[in-house]
Amino acid sequence: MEKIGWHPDLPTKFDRVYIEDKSWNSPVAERARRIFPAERIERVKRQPFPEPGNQLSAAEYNRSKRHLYLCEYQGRFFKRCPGARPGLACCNYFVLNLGLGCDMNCTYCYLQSFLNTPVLTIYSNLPQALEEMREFLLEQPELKIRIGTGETVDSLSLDDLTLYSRELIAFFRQAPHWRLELKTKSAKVDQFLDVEHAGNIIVSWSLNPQHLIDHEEPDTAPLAERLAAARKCRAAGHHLTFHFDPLIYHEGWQDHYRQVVAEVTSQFAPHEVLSISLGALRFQPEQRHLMRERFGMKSYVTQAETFRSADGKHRYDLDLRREMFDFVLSEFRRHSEDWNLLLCMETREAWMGALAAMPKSVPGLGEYFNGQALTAFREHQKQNYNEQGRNR
Amino acid sequence: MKTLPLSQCNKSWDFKPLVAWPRTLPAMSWGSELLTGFDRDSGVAVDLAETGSLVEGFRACYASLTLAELSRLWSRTHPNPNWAEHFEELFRGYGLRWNDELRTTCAILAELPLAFQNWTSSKQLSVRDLAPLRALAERSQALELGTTLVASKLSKSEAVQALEWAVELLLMDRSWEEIRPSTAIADSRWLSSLKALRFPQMTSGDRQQQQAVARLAWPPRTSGHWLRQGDKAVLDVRLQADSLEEFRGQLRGLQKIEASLKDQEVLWKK
Ligand code: SF4
Repeated sequence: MEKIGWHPDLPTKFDRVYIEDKSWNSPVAERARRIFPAERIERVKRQPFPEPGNQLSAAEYNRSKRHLYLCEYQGRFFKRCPGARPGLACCNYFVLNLGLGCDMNCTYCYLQSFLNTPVLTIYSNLPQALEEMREFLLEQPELKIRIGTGETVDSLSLDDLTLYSRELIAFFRQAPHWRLELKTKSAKVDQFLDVEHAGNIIVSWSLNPQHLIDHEEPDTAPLAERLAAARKCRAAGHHLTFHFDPLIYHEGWQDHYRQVVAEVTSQFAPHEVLSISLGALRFQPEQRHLMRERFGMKSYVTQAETFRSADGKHRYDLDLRREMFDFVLSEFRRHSEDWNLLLCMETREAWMGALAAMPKSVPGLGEYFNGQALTAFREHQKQNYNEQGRNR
Repeated sequence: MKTLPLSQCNKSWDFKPLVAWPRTLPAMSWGSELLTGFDRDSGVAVDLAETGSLVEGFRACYASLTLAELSRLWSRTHPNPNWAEHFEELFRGYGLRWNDELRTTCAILAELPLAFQNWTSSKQLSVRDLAPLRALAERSQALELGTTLVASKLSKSEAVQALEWAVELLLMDRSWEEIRPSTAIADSRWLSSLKALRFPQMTSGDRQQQQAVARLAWPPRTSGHWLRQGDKAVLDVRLQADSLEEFRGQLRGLQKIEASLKDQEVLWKK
C-alpha cells in the first residue's frame, strides 16, 4: 500500500480536508494525511458546516466540491438499487454507498436533486461494509447478485486516496459468483490493476463525445483517457461495460456520437464489453433551479427542451429520445450485431420504440437481473431488523 | 410596562408591513427600535424588551408575514447584533427554513422595487417560485421583468411560469425587446409566446403535427387532435354515434384516415 501512488492533482484538489475524530486512525485518514498538505487538514468532532436541512444553495454546492470530509457511516452500506421500481425498465441491482458527493462537476448530475451534505463525504469504515456483504453471502451463498459502488459517489475518482477498490476486489474473490461494478468518469485504475481477482469485476465507464465532456462534464477525464483506462482493465482481465448516459441533444449530435461509437468499436470487440447501456438526459424537475444557477443557460442541459414524463422526471420528447437511441444503437449494429445493447432508467415506451432488447434478454446478464435476488435481500433485511430488535 | 415617546424611537427597522398596525393599539418597540406603528409621528411605544426575546416580541406583533415582508425586515436588520443570530428562529416562526437559498432570495427580493415585492406577496410566491431570479445577474433585467409581471393579468401559476421562461430566455442571450409582451398588459398570450421562444423545436413540431391532423378528412361527428402530454404527443380521436349504422360509417371513414396517416411522416417519425 505504501508504494501505491496517487494522481498529481489530488493533493490540491481540496481546499480543506476534515477528518472526524473517530476516523483519524482509519487507513483512509492515514493516507489522506500523507497526501494532503498538513495545513489543509483539520481534525474535527463533527461535520464542519451547518446542515442546510433540505437543499444546498448553489454556492454551498460549489463549495462542497472543494471540501472533503472523512467520517464513519452510521447506517447500512449495502442496499438495493433505488432504480429497481415499477415503471422503469431497470435491472435489479444492489448498491454499496461508500461516500456522498463528487469531486467532478457534470452539469446534469443527479446528486443535485438530493444532496444536502455541504462537504464531499467519504466513509472511513469500509470494514463494516464488507461485513454487511459477508453476512448476506453467508445467508445466501448461491445467489448471484450484482453490486455497484457508484450510486452516490464516483467509484474511482477518489480511489487513489481511498484504495477501496483493492479491498473490494479482494473481498469479491470470496464470492466469485457475485459481480462488483465500479462505475466512473475518471481514468484512475492503476491503483488496483495488480490485485488478484476472481474475474468478477466489472469496470464501467460513462462515455460521451469529447465535445460534450468539455461542455457538460467539467473535471472528468477526457474520453481518450477513459478508453485508455478501459484498455488497461481489459488487459488485467476485468469485465467492461460502457454507459452512454446521458445522451445529450446538441447541434451536431449525430456526428459526435458517430465518432465516439467509432472510437469504442475500433478499440474494443463486442465480446470484450459485457454491455453498453444507453440513457437519455433526465433530471428531477426541482433540480433545474440549481443547474440554472450553477451553470447558467449556456449548457446544453439547462437549455434543453425537456418535459415532465410519467415518472415525474424531465426528459426530451419521446420521439427525440427514440431517434437518439436508434441512432446510437444502429451505429453499433452497423459495426456488429454482437454488441450487447440495453437501455437503463428509461420508460417502457422508449424501450418499445428502440431497437434494443429488454435487459432481461441480454445474453449473459439475465441471471443478474432476476427478481430472486431482490426477494432474498428483502428476506435478509427483515431478518436483520428482527435481529436488531432482539438485541436492543 | 415601560413606554417611550415615539419621538425617542428609531424607525430603522421599518420593513413596510402590508397591514397597518391598528390605530387603537399603542406602537411597540424593542428598546428604542420601533417594531410597529412606523407611520406614526406622535404618541408612545410600549417597550417589549422586558417581556421576552426580540423574536417572541416580534412574532406577537405580527402573526403572519409574507416572504417579501420578511425579506425587507431581514435586509434592514441583518447587520444588527440583536437580530443576527435569530433569523433561523424568526423565519421558522413564519414557516420558512432559514438557509443559504432563503438568504439569497431575501437579498434579491429586498433589492427589487416595492411594487414587485408587494405583487409577490399578493400572489403568495414562495422561495421556489422565485428561484429563477437567483440565476439572473443583471438587476436591470429583473426590474423590467418585474414591472411587466406586476402589471400583468397572469394567474399565479402562469406568472411563475412566465418568470421562469423569461429568465431563461434572458440568460440565453435573448434581448428584452424579443421577449417582452406585445400588448401593454401581459396576458396568457405572452405566456404562449414565451413558450414558443423557449421551446422552439417542440412548438414548431407540434404545430406541424396539429395542422397535419386537422387537414385530414374526419368523418362526421368524429374529430382528431394532436395533443402534447408531457414528454410525448398523441393522436386523440373522438367519435359520437347514436346508431350502429352511423358508427360503422365512422369506422369506414376512420379506416381511410388510417390509410393516409401511414404516409404522414411528420406525425410518425419512425
Ligand atoms: S461524475 Fe457522476 S456523480 Fe460526479 S458530478 Fe458527474 S454525474 Fe455527478
